[in-house]
Amino acid sequence: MSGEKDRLAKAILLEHFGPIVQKVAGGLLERGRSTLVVLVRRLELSAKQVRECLFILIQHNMVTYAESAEGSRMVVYYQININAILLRDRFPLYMKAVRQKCGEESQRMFTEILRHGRANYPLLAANAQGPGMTRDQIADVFKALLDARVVVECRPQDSVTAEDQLMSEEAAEVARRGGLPLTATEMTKLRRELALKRDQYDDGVETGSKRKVVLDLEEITNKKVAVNEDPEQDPDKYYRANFAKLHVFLRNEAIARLAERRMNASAGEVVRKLLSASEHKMRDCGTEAKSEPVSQIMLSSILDPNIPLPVDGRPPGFSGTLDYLESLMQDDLKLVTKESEGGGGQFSVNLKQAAIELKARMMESVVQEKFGDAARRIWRILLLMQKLNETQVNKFALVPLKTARHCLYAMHNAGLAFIQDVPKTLDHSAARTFFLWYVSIPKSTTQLAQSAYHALANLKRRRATEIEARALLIEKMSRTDIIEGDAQLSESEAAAVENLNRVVDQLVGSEIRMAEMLMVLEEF
Amino acid sequence: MSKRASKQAQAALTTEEQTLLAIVKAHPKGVDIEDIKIQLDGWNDNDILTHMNQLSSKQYVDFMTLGKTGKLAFKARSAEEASKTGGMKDEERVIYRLVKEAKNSGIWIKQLKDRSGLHTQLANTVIKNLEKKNIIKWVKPVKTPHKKVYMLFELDPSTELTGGAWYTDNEMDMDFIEQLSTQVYKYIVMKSFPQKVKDAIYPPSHSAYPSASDIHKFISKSGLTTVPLGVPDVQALLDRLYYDGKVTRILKTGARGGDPDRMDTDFDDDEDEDEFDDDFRDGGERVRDLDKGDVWMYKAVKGSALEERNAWTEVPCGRCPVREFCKEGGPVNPSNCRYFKDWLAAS
Ligand code: SF4
Repeated sequence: MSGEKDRLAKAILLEHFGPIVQKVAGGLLERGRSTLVVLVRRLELSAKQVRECLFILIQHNMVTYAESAEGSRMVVYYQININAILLRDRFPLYMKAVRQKCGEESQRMFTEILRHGRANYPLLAANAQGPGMTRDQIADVFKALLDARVVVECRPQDSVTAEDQLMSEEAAEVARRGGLPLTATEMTKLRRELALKRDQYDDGVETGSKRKVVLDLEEITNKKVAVNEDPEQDPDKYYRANFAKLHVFLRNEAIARLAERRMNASAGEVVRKLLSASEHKMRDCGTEAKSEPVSQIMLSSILDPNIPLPVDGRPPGFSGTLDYLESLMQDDLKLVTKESEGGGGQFSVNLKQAAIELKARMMESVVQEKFGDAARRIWRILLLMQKLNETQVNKFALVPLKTARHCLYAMHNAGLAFIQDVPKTLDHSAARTFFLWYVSIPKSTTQLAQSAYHALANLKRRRATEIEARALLIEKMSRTDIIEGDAQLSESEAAAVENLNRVVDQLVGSEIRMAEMLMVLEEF
Repeated sequence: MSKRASKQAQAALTTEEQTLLAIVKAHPKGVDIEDIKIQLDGWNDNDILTHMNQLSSKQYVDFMTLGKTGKLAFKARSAEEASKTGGMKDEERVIYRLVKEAKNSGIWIKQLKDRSGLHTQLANTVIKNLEKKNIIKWVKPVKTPHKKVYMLFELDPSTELTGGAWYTDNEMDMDFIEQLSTQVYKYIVMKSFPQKVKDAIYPPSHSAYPSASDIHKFISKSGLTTVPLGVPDVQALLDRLYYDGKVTRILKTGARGGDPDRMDTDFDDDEDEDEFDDDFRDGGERVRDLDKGDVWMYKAVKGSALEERNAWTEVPCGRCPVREFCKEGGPVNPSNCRYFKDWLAAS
């Protein structure tokens, strides 16, 4: 797994930051936590180069550092976060999500933040300056990003390696309690307390200005800018994109679209609004198993009035909300559940189940496309009934045994179906063993993700190759006389340019879709 | 002819034998020696056995063992059968008896030979003879088509052997199944969505979705097929559609006391299970519940919930046969691979 991930990460870094940063990051990826000295020695780059690269990587939230005392010296260790690199491929998706949530202008500002990794308000405002944008409008655009929490303030801790942060917090706590080594149970308890504290702290940060822990240095700056009408515009405050929150938005939208495909646009709207009611409280995709319950009456009031909820046989003016909610509950996907009876029924979206459904449907579609109807049926049978042998599969699926067997092995090779052997005798002889087939979403998720990393890296590689092959042409295109129209490309060159553009577009399009698939598999 | 033959044969019996035969005939399931003694005053075991042997050799009576006790008992042969086997040689009779015992499940030729105790060659000729006389026949079971299985000529092979309605000449008739399930699906679609308003749904309490027996009726009336189908066959077809993800099933409200709310809570039960696998277990149980009767209504699924395009199978690597060998810098690699070339050229 890590091999394919590393390869993809390096390809992304090369694309976004060039070969030297890629080299430094590569060194960190291969070696793990390292000091500057080690990196310089290994990479055969100058200390200055390495330091600058590290600076860029920290600026873009991919590398964190930790100071640790070794004897009398302080040694700084750098560590790279591979997921922070991999998600860079999904920038277009995040930008789209921001546009939907906060509007076009905000998206432009958000893009600026992505470009800089971290940015302060003056920088963003300067970039947003354009005809017809007043200062207040710019502030609003920025406020929208903060309110949606797709952008959050950077904290000094963000650059410190999480593991080291944990260790030092723990050490400090232990020292405070007298410095005696703690027992395992005490340690777990302590860790839990610390985790709780951190959570609360995070909450504070995310809501913007209210912070429970304030570092000395910042306290001073805070006082200094108190005169400033808006603390968020403080030039000493830097902001970064909050991908966890963006994943929440993207996931919720994916769930709504699932309902839409399953039933109709009205059902999609019902699920969308059911989710949006508590969306602001969801910090990432893993925490909540269900969305917060919303009453049917409350839900009716926030639904888009332009989307009707048609139900057969109901009188005109009848609210179809309850019918839609109950139909969604009745559906096999089980996206919606009823939590209680109050307020005409309290409903929530089963987030955990929905995430599984999203992955399962993706796999089902892979099975369908690759192996056809019979295989898809067999895959679904295994999903429903768990472990079955060949003949059972063939009976349920109503396909010839030969076809069933063929499908099963094909899916097995693709990591979409698995065999469990149950030996009848102690010697595990194959002749006296039952072979049971099953599918497993978690297992296939890993397999499919692995293949997708491979494919995505291939797509990138191919794109680079296509562009390299036309290096001369591209060079010619960027000549000033061509740009200024003094000279022209020959007909065949023009055709080649067009072809290259088409090929690159096709590759980039597939890359984004592949990256989206990886997001569903890895983040939802 | 058989009547005359049986009269002749009957005539050849002694009075004692006739008395004895009458008693045996009165017990179509077989009778043991004790029971016979009760009905025949003054006969001892020996008398009965001697006459019984005579009857047996004249093809009127078969010996058998009774139930678990393994007691010796006797059973009369029908007149027709007596005439059929009457002219047989001993070895033919052995084979005949084994084939007959196997009923419509048939007996595998190898077992037939082994159990008959006859020499292979002899057994082969005997079997051929009986086949020629249209007394026995062979069929190929669907599950093990290489095994010849013998049964009496007049019997219809069991569904176990033929595979049932879905098999034609020992092959699963895929065209037939596909066509029929398409028709059934169309019928369900028709019943699943309101016609009047576009994109409307039926309220959740709607209960006019078809059940397995409704669909069975529909097929029988429609004349879609001349193959006689039972409700279980239709059920298998519906299950297939369900596994296809084309239809879903809804518990008939009547089957659970008609309270839709109750149904909701039933479904809720399994929502809280933490284990991922468990989320699907109840699906499996619902499938097994099926035998309990006509409790499900079938409703077409509007969308399969699949994306129209799939990022993975769309790109060459998703369909690549040499993916395992593909490495940057290796002989198969993304820079020179022809799958990419074709793909990029194609669109
Ligand atoms: S050979 Fe080509 S299509 Fe196959 S995996 Fe490699 S890059 Fe993809």
